[in-house]
Amino acid sequence: MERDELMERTVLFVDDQREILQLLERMLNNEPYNSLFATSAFEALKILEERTVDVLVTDIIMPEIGGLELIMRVKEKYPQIVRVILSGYAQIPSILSAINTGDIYRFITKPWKVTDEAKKIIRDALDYSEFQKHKSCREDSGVTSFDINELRKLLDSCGLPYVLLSESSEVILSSSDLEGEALGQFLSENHRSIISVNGESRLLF
Amino acid sequence: MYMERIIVTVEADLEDLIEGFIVNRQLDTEKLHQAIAEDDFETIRIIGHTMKGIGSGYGFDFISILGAKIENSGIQQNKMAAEMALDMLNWYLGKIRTEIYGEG
Repeated sequence: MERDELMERTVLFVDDQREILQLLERMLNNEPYNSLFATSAFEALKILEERTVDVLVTDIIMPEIGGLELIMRVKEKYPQIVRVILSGYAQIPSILSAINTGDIYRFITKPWKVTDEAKKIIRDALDYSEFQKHKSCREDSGVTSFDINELRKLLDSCGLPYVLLSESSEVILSSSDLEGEALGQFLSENHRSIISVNGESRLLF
Repeated sequence: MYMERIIVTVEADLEDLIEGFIVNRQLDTEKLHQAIAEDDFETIRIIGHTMKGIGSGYGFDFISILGAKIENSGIQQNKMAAEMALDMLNWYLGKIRTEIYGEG
């Protein structure tokens, strides 16, 4: 895709901390997309009424309307917008809940550093947005896709045992305390599917 | 250990934002001082949360670390911990000197 075409793509960042937005504006200056900024969910929704946005990146904890509520509203009204959460580890239950319902595509963890990794997550989200637009038969926009190391980091920080299984029940990922017999016992006792990854795997807690 | 200065390296792209960042942290110390005096732990928590979220992004990792301590002191309503963190913040802000790297 040519740079001019890339620059037609737009990412909306939402955070109630102006200094975060100021930082983002500066550090993403050379990225191949337009960036819009909102300091509240209200402001974000107003922007969405007036502008075409491809990707939404939002903080979770904000006054009045929080990030998860914003994501739900955006999912309902603008399902084509790819949604990314910007959040601290303290909000893990909320992130898992959002993952579970397919409301978000990826998450970026705080404290926010505009690293190459974070830039890549946003670019991937834009690519996914393009992919969706060209895949007319797909109705569900809520597929969740994770880098396996990113997911491991998040799950390890939960402090709970977990196993990620493929559709054929092959173990893809598990917490370090689950090995050998303990893993077998865990699998036999847990049958609940908590989240899906790429629509192909399931995660057991 | 006596430290004359603490050198913080920041990206050239952010050079003109750093002064404002430092000024805002100095304002935070004033707000924290008042919040501690009034036992306003919710304000303490919010200030800490903000500092935690932005410090590292600007290159000031220690601000993020102190922010986490301040946020926790607010959550736990621990006045002494908040006072200690405020002392550390004042000390840190009095010691830092920034050096720019990269091309803006």
